[in-house]
Amino acid sequence: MHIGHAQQKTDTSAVQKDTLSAAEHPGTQPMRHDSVMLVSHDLRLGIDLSRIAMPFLQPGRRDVEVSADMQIIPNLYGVVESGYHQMQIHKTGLFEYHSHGYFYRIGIDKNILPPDPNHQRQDIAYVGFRLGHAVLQQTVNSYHITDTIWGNVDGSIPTQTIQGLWLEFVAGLKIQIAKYVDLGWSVRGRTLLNHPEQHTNVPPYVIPGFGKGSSRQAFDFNYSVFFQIPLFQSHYTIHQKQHQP
Amino acid sequence: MRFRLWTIVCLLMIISACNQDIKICEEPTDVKLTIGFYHKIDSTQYQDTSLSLAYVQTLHQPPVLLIDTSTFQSISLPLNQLADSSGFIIQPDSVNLADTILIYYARQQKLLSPGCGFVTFFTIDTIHYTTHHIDSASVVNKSVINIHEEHIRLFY
Repeated sequence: MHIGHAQQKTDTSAVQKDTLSAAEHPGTQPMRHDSVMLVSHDLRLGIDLSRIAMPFLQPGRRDVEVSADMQIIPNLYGVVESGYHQMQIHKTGLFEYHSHGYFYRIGIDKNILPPDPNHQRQDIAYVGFRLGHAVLQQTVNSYHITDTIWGNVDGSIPTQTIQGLWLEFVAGLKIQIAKYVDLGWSVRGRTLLNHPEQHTNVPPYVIPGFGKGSSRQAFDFNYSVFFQIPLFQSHYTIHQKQHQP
Repeated sequence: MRFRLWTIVCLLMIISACNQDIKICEEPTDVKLTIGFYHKIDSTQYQDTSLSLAYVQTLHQPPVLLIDTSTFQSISLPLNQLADSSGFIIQPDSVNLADTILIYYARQQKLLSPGCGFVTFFTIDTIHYTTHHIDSASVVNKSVINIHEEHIRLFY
């Protein structure tokens, strides 16, 4: 959602009403200067373009990530992100590994741009947080350990299910490039809240939606395109109190 | 323009970070049992010592020579990854009879890293040994996950 959608339209009748109400009790009641904002609750759906490039950067890896957000109150957005991850590693003479899983994140974004007096700006800069959860299934189809003394070891490890839980801080931009179309990027810092590697002899190579499973911290970058679907508008009253001198 | 530049820089950083840990093994992969030699002064006192060895070989047939004539304060021996026990024959230079040491353990294959592949970690359960030359032995570290830590002390 954009600040431009939180169109700040002052409802003069409401202001007059509240001011008169306060004036009836001079000296004891604070003066109230209420204003009413018209808030557009557009649904913004996004897809992370940077994930499309992943198979070229890491052969055997496939990722899809989508998002949805909506302005709840002025400049505060509820966000849901979800995705799918698949990884295949074939190390000749060492092992064959396959994993796939999904994740979701829920959180809040806060627009930090100052209000636009002309109500024309559609862009937002935001900071926020997410709580993420992932479920991963991984299988080692085969592994080989070379041992010239006692004999080589060959084996396989059946499918294991692993879960990851993490907290994430995010900062980014969303810029309108056409009507109902935004482009944006974000940077993210994540920290794992649980210890998925402690419950398995095969630490997950990638925890879906988090990053490398070998580290408890992860940093990420998203580059997304968003499509807005106008849904409804609501009036949001801002109460401001001023005490009489 | 600046927005695009930052995007390219970030993408290059991601590309450079990808795949390196799959291609390259940067961790030590040796997992061996390390035995330290000690001279027992009395029931409570001991000091580390060097032992002149004629040879150390595996107990199983055909035997594999692991260490040939040399002097060591400690030796690192590979444990059998296909069984739950390993036996070694330790023949010092100074005596005629060799000692045999049997180590019983649990083992688990673990993915060390995508670049290095799998290794076997061991958890020592019990040890048995002959006392031709060995006075006593103790397990000081049950977890065998590398080559750097001492796991068993042999007192002479």
